[in-house]
Amino acid sequence: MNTTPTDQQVQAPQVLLVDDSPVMRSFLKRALAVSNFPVRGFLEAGDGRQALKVVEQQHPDIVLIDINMPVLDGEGFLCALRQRPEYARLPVVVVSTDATESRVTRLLELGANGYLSKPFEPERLAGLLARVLGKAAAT
Amino acid sequence: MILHDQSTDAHANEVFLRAAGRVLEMMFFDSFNGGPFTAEPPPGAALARVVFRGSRLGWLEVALDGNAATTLASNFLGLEQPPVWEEVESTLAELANMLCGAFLSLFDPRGSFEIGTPRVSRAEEDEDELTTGVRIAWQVLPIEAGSLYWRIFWDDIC
Repeated sequence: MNTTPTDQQVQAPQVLLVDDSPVMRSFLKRALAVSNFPVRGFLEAGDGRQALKVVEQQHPDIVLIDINMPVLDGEGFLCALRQRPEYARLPVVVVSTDATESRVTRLLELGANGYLSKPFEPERLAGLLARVLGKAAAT
Repeated sequence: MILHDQSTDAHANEVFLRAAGRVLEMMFFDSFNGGPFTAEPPPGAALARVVFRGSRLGWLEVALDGNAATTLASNFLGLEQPPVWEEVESTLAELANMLCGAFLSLFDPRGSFEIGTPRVSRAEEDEDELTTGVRIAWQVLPIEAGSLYWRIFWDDIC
C-alpha cells in the first residue's frame, strides 16, 4: 500500500484551531472542507494557554484563533507568541465576532496576520488563509 | 425606573435585524421573512444570555423554539442525525455569541466591548432583575426553521 503523501498533502498546512467553543471549531473545519481548502490536518485547543503548548509541541503551520476565551484570550496568546523569536513568523489569523475598529487594529498591531469577523462565508475564510500562507511562504 | 429612548430602540431593532440576517444566512443557512413581532418565548424554550461590557454594559438574550433549536444545530454542525441536547446547547450559545458581536459591531463600530461566555437555560428559569437603562422587549423573528426570540438591554457607560 502506497503511503507516500501526495504533493498537495505535503504542501497543505496543519491548522491549529483555537476556540473555547467545540462547535465553532467543528464549524471551522467544515468551512474549510466545503471550500475545498487543502489541509494536512487539524490541531485544536480550547484557550490560549493550551494553544501555546500545542504550538511548542506539534508545530502547526497556521493558527486560527478566537479572542474571547478563558484562561488566556486571543490577545494574550498573540503577545506571548510574538515575544518568542522562533514564532515571529508563524501565521496567525483571528476569527472573532468583534469587528470594531479598535479591536481589529489592536490585534493586527499585536502581530495577527489576518482578521476575519463572524459571520463569514466559508470561501472568505479559505481565501484569507491562502493569502496569509502565500505571504508567509514568500518571506 | 426604566430609561427608554424610542429612537434608539428603532435603530437598535434595525441593526439587530441586519446582524441576524447575516448570521443566520452565513453560519446557520437559514433566513427570516417578515417580522419582527413583539412576543415572548414559550415556557421551556432554550434560551441563551450573553453579557457584554465596554462602551455599553448590558446583555442580549436569544431563545429558540424546539424545532428551530434542533434545525439550526443540525445546519451549523452539518449533522445527518438529530442533535443531542449538548449540541443544541452549544450551538445556541454560539448563535447568541455571534448575534451579540455582530449587533454591537454594527451598532457601535467605534466602541469597544468584551463579550462574556453565553449562559444557556430554559426560558422560564430566568428572571429579569434590571430596572434602569434601555430595554428592547422580546421580539420574535419567524425563520425557516421556526422562531427566534430576542431581547436586549444596555446602559451607556458615562
